[in-house]
Amino acid sequence: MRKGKILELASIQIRNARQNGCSTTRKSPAGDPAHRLARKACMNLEISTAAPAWQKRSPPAAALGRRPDLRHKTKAAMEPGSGAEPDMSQLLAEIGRTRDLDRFELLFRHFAPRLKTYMARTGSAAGAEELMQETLTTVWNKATLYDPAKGAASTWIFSIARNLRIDAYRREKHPQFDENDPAFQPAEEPTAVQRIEAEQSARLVRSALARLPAEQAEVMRLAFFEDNSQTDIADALKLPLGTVKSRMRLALGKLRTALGDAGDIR
Amino acid sequence: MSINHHIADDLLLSYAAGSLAEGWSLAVATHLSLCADCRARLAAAEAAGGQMLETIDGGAVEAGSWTALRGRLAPAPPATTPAKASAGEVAVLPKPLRDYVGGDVEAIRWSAIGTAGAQFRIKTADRETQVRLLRIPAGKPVPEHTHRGRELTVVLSGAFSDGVGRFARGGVEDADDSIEHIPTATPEADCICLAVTDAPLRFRSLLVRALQPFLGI
Repeated sequence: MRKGKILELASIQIRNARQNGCSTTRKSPAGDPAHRLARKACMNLEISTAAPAWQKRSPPAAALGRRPDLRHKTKAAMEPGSGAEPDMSQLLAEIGRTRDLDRFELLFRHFAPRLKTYMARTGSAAGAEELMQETLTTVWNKATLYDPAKGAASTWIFSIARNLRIDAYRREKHPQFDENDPAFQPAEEPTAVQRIEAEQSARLVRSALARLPAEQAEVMRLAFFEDNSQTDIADALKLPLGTVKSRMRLALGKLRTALGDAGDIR
Repeated sequence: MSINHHIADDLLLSYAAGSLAEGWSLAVATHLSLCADCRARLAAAEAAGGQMLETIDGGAVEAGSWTALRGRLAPAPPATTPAKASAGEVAVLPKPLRDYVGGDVEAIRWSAIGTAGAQFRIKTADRETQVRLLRIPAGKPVPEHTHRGRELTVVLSGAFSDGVGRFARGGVEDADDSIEHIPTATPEADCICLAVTDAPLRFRSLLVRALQPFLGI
């Protein structure tokens, strides 16, 4: 199903962008969420078509999965004899213990380009490099606190990046729970997510994401990577707000089931 | 103590994505402080964010980016001493809320509404929500209660009940305007809760604004 599914996803994305139309959107008021979204869609379209043939990209590049990225590979980046990138979660834990800058460079090579794209898409291209650097500085400073038992490195780094961009672009706070809070109610038993190895749960989430129906994958992308509120998404896709909410609920439900199936969840 | 009423998956997902307005996020973070089950559900949503980050098309970083970064990194991590809660320390308001109030319940500067109820407005940077703490007197209904759109109520102390159910500490009522309800505090104690609603719609047209009460919007 892989290749067919990815093609379908990509063509839906492009069709949407065409339908939303780069020219018609100019007539819309600039503050209109549909306008903003269509503009982003057009930008995505340019990116998609600029790449010679997205069909040729390995499937993950289109949406989901692991992408072999050889551009930044240096000799040092390779694990001796393996030819593959090291496991990022193990690498980050190791950096926390050893404070080894050479090892951190490997992590940088892997995450810096991704973080920069993330920052550019959710905010502006201008500040993306700086925000990427800030994210990785925080990762370095907090690496000693990273616990691979609690989740994959990508999850941990994503959370740091997300918090920094909310602060930088929206100038809002992102209130968060604190485990050292006297009011904090700890779990009575380890949750399913904690019982699964970080890399295993990452793999399960990745394959569950790949299996999401296109319309659920779309609301995920709009929420995570284009910083759209539920109302923005509803306006842009011309859907009732309730439909957006239910797509989000279905999507998260599937991800949780994927983790629960393997982890004997409550 | 288990909580019966939780944060909906769409809110958790938007919160994990970082695309949820500050006011709603405060209600989510307050509930998360008190509910391990929802923290596990949040972990699944954040893992999705992590995997989407893994598969994003990486753009080119600037030449010399690594050298620049390396220059800003201190070899040893900055000394971080997480403030551990000392044994016996208690708090009614979870940390995310205390940060806004400037202390625990005794720091709340209540202003009276109705005959015996009280409220305290919390300012956030978003324009989408209205956030306040409510104190409902024991055995009494919510003194003033109109809302449009969504309303999230998180119980912090005491309990209330309405046609939907009984809500105790940590419990979340997620109501939209289709639900007609009169939350009433249970008789044992005053009920303190956090209430987040959609900010009232603002219309540019003076005419529409003048007609708003008649149009019921």
